[in-house]
Amino acid sequence: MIRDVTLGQGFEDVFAQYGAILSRVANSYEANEAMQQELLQEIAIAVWQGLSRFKGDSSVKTYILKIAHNRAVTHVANQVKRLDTHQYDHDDLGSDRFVSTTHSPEEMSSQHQSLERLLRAVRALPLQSRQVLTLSLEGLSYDEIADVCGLTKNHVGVILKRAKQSIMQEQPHA
Amino acid sequence: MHNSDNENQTNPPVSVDDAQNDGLSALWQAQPVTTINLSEVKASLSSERTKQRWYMLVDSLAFIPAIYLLVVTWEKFTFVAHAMFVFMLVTALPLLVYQLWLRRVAAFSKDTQTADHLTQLIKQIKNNVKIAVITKHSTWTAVLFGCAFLVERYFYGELTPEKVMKMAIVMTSMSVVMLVWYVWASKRQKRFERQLGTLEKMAQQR
Repeated sequence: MIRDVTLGQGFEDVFAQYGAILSRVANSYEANEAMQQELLQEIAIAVWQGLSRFKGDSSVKTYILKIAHNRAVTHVANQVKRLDTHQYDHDDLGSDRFVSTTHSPEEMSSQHQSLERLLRAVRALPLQSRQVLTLSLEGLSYDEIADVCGLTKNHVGVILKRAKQSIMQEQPHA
Repeated sequence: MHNSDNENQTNPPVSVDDAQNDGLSALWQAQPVTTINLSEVKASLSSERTKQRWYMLVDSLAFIPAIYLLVVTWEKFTFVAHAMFVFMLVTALPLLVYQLWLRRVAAFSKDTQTADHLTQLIKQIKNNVKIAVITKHSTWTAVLFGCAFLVERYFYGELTPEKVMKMAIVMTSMSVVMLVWYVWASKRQKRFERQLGTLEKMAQQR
């Protein structure tokens, strides 16, 4: 796949495989659905451009997550010229967006509320803690997180511990 | 934890409840996601490239009319006027190069680590503030230059009433354009300063 991507092919495959991860990155920075979509498009463009420079030094997943977080930070800075995005914090996830076929309506409602609390808590974290925590929640190892963020493994551990403590205060039943 | 990479982790510096972590990860990954519109991405990518190329072209071509006029009318002006024109060009050319360099940085960003990205972004926004300040002050400098040129013409040129009228119209139009440009640059400066404040706050929160 790496060879295909460097040859300018296989972008569709990358987005099919990692599209959900990129969408979750957008969700961790923006609460409003329209803004999430806008950010996701920006991330997708940045990833598309970035993949042509990919040399295979790391996994595709690690590489695109690095690009996605960088693009999201740029997006947040650019939003200063717009309305304060915090006004959208009261936008909930929208019940029609949360679909599960394996849970009862009560379980779904409970999970929906838990998820809403989690996302609020994640968005409230300082930037570096947010990045480290969400990368960990996506299954990246300490080494990979250290590579994406430019930190040492120990520093990743310390930040992650603090971030999880903060999240658990908001999310006691997770 | 979801992938095999995590199995390779040895002695993590923190001890946490695995079940709790798995629950958090599962909850995180259960969130609704949006599908990427690939055709929109392709269209945006193409339009962004075109936009950046146009900006660079316009920046580069902006000097051509001024240089052309200078070459064509060189014989008509005195040494003082020549000195003024050359001074303006020499001052403005490095600024043009600097602007092109900034656009190049913005157009071809590298895949840096997230911590470096924030640092670079802060640097870039600081540069943008500088550019906006230079642009803002270049407007009244240009008007001042225009006035100085009029004075030069008054003393060294052969001014007829028609020429005076023509120059007054040109100066008034130029002043109006420069005023609008000043307000625009000032707004940009304030916006970049707000962006800088946001980014520096983010960096301090680490």
